[in-house]
Amino acid sequence: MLTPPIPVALPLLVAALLAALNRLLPRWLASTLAILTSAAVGCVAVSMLVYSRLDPIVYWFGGWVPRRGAALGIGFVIDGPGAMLVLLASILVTASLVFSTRYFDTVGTLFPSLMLIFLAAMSGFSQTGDLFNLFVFFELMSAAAFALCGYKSEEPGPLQGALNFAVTNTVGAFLILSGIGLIYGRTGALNMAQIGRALGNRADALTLVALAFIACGFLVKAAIVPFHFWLADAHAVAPAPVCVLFSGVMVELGLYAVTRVYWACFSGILEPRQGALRNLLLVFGVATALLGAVMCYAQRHLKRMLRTASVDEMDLRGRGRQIQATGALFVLGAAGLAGLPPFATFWAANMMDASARELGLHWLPWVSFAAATATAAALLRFWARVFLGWGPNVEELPTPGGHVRERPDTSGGHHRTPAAMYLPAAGLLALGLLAGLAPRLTGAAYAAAIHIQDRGAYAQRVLDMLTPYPAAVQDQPAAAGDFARGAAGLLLALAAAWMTLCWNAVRRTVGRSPIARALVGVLRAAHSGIIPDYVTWLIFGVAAFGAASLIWLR
Amino acid sequence: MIWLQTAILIMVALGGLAVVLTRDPLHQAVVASFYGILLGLMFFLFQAPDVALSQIVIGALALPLMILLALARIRRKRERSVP
Amino acid sequence: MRPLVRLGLFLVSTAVFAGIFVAALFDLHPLGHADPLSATYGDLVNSLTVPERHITDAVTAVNFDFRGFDTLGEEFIMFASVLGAALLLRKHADESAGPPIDKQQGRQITLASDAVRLLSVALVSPAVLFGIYVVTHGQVTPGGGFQGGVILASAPLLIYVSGEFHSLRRVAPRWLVEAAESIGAGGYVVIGAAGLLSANAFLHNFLPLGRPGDVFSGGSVALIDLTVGLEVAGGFILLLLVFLEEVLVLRDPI
Repeated sequence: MLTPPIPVALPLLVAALLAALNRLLPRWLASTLAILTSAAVGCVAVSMLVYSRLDPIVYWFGGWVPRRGAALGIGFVIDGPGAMLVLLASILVTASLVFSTRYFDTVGTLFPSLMLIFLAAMSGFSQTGDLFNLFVFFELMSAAAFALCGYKSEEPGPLQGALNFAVTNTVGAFLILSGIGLIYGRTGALNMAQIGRALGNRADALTLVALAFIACGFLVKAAIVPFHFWLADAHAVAPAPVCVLFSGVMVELGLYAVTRVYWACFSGILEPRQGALRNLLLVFGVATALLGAVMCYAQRHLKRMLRTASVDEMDLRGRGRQIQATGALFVLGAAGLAGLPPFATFWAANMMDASARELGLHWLPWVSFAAATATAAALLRFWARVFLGWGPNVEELPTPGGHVRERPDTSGGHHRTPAAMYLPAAGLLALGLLAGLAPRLTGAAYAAAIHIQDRGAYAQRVLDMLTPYPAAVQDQPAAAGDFARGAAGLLLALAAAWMTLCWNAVRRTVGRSPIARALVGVLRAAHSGIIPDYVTWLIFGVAAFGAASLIWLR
Repeated sequence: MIWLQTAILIMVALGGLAVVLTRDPLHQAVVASFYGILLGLMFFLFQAPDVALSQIVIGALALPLMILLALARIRRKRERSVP
Repeated sequence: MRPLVRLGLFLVSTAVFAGIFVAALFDLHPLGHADPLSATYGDLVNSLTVPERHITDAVTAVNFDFRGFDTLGEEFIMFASVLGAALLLRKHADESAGPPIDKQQGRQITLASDAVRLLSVALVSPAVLFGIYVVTHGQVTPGGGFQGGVILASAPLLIYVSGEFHSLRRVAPRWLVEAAESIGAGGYVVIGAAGLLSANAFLHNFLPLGRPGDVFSGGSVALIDLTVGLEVAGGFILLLLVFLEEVLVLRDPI
């Protein structure tokens, strides 16, 4: 049983080593060591995933096993979702490190060290069963992320973006800490399973406010409206390998934390009010989906659009014809985002829609379909403009801030994209495709979801060391209609992209309509880049969530 | 004991307000240093000497120092840009 | 947002926020008491630290033994923050490094006053001694690695105050400080891994426990105190060096 500490301890040790030998090691050696370390973490994650499918791995640090149902030390509880997140984090970090060996042709000191610390924090975050340990890894993740975001500190932009990121996430951390303090004051426990048992069965002001604070704090990390403003800024200025990590796994971890904390600690006392809580969270979630889709479609700056890479599409019009392989990868990525089968996103969207229909929320699948299609359409429009040279030279909807000429990150002079840069992208796309083709994917996912919701069994497994988990669950096959919907999504996205690019009548009406301009204008004004605005929205969101919980969840 | 604790809590609240309301960064560094000592005293009165030890050195020493160093950096940059 | 709109929204939201926070606080038990239904963590720890770990400072026991893994994470938060600061303040391609200038342009170099120099030099040794005392006695009296490390870090600061930047550089050269910090950070992980090899749990307390009240009690907690002290002291001195270099040494392109 040596494996659970490894995804945390190994990257931290290698990071300290790389930092100590910073001036002595050549860059290629440091990068190689870092890549090997994250690959090793990936292998450990695979073994944990296999081992934990039916029975979560429970590991107590320092040998402090629980006594009389009270946890003395810190425990790792690794089940399916946790191991999967560790695997995802390690894959993305490996890909980023490979990409960055050619991305940073200029100075790249200490970068692998910070990336490994980031990986260790994400692994610990996914594996832990202790609420305060969750907070500690949240802070470690944030500390590494702030520095990685402001990496290109020669320009003032990255520092400002990193500052926005740092201030909003620190307020979020303060909220989480307050919530944990309230819970500890009530239960005297920090282990999530123990808290779940000790909270009793009535929800009062303290527990509801604690839930509101903890949930909102993690939702800041998950970039849910109205806590999301930092993400667009951070993405616009961070180097590309870091952006992959931000939207690929860091924000997902915020949502994972809310899920885990809710089901392990609060689901007992909120059992009768589950519907109301679900509606409350839905409000925030739907707002995020719609806002994200609209902002994405109205963006021309690719990094802000994808929340990823940094190029203004007008400048690159037509020049993409030479890098064919990159273009092909781009289209595949857009297709994956739109939920085309057999990418794994298709199955995920399918399962979410099925459970939404079960709960009676028939409008929800349409909302998610629209949001995904709009996002894919924006990406395809970028692709068509850059790689095929379509579209006119002038844009109807004005963009704010004028033209910002950014310094390119590579030193130029490459005729073709270096292999180290497009191989990770190709690899990740292949993984997305393969994951969608994996057998029993939906069955395993459903089983994991059911297990996460089972608070009693979780507590029994962690504190009493029994093994109450039932056998695996059946697969959910997809009907022909679902496949048709997936394909339709992609076609609709293509059509939308083509229409707003080439069909002049549509372009002019959409571009000049006062409603579109007003809407986009209001949204862009809100994303002002000023920290007081962001923090005001944050406090507003917390106050709204808290007041709503106190009124409707009692 | 309870009176001491109440008194220090009120002083901490007022001190926090004072730090925020001091606008000039140079003055704010000094006020923050004093506030750090006040917090250390509060932790001590609430029977947490370990925390008080850390707080005194960091809040009263390291934090104002960093504010001063950042100010020196900005001032130097400003002097350079004015010919 | 216009400032007035923002202020209004902020005040309303803060009022609601304060209201719900106070409502939650009223549901808490008074300080020092806990909900009688749940076993209090404090009582449990207090009953176990001396018999099982021979440590008389329960706070250090919780920090480095019961919840030692949290402290490892916290220590690396500090490590990552110092690393990040060094990264963001690094010498950029268009900057150059010159000899340190202590004063503004056009003024004569003046040293610190005699009183300041005397006092700082006189305080260096007590600071170092006190720092070492706090670090090594963490498991016996209040203190420990963090507290002692920060006190140790104040010694080079006093040296800078009493002299010039180059005296600080001579006493604490950058490579030494970086090495110390990394050894401290990595050392904690190595001690944890050694626990893994000896008794199959990371951070297990595997060294002989000694007598309660001795300096070398608590087994591996004593060792962890030393590594954490090294890391924290190294971290703070590095932070000081990085900031001072940014101010005094690096020149912007003119």
